[in-house]
Amino acid sequence: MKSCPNKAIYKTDEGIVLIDEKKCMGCQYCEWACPYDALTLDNEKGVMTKCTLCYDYLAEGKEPACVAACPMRVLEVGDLDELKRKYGNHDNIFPLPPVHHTKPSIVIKKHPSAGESKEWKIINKEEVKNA
Amino acid sequence: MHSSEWSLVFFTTISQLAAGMMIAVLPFVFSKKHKEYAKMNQTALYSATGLMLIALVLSFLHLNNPVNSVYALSNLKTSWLSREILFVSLFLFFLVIANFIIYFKNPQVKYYKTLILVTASVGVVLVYTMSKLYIIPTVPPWNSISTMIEFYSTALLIGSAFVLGLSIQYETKNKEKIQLSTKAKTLAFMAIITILIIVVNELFLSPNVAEGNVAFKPLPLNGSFMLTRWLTILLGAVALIYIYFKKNSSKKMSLAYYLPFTLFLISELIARVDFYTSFYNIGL
Repeated sequence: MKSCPNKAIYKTDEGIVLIDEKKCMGCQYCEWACPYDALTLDNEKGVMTKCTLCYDYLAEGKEPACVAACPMRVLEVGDLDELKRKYGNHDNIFPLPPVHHTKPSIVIKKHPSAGESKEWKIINKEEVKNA
Repeated sequence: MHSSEWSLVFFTTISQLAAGMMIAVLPFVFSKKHKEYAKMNQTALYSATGLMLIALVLSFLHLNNPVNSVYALSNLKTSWLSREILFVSLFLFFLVIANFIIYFKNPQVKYYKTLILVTASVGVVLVYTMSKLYIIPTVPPWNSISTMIEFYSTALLIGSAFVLGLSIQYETKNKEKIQLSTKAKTLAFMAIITILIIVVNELFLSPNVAEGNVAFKPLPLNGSFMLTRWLTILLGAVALIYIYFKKNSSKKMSLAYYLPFTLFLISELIARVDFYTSFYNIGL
């Protein structure tokens, strides 16, 4: 949001970050600035696009599509404090970007073998990147 | 490197060349014999303006939805890209105004000098904003003072080498043989110092990409490209030293004095491709 020259990226009252397509010029600077690689170019429209957390579904009281579709039921959306109470406060897990950069609104129930150190390496890079 | 970044390679290098030229021309503009250099200064100004017009077109080629560029100055408060766009526009604006004054009016010396100084200063700020927009914590290989040193070095190296060639070309116009002026020698010296800064920056100041909590790192640029980068800069330095110590510069060879500029330009373009190729971001 700070990087976008056009102020085309904004946050809703619910904390969802969205892109105003009427303002985006497709310079892709946000793609460099985003630590989560969350923004990609919509080649047809020539503007950036990202996950909207299915805000329209949420408004209707439905779950986001990814949460509803996950066969293992590992995703949940809700109030951050409530989720932290439920699952703990783990957010600094490699290879996610360091939390001092991102201050993420995310809670991850840590796998016993998940690492927090830079010593950890991804060995199946081809499978993870551009999956 | 993404194919869309080719326009950025040329946009950044060309704008930095124009800014460097405006800095390098200052000793000639503020010289006591400035009237002798009037034609040369005019050519430098026209060239910088032409380059910035090309740079502007290239910057638009990078945009996927250029119509919305009308909003590009909306976020001057926090976005370095917004600030860069402002200074690209200001630099071009001042260049056009200076051209207008020279072309349509007899330049009043005092006013003209101030205008050139302001234009060069805007060019310096432009290079600053340009480097700041790449110094971002999400991209470790760019997130250091080394990026700023690289951009200013490019501006000074190719800018001074071009104006050096231009000054010898103009000085040999009316004379068969000339001795290199103190100003031209200063430019050659400035370029040599800049090469030393480039070497120190590359060897000691570039960020250590082995550090940091990152999952993916890029493949380095092909070794033969980097060899060409260092060979061209070395050959350019040898040519500069030859020009510096040569007793007489002849008219017949005047175009050969652009050789250091040509070699440095090739070298800096390869370095810029290497800069964009080095991209990777933190996290996934």
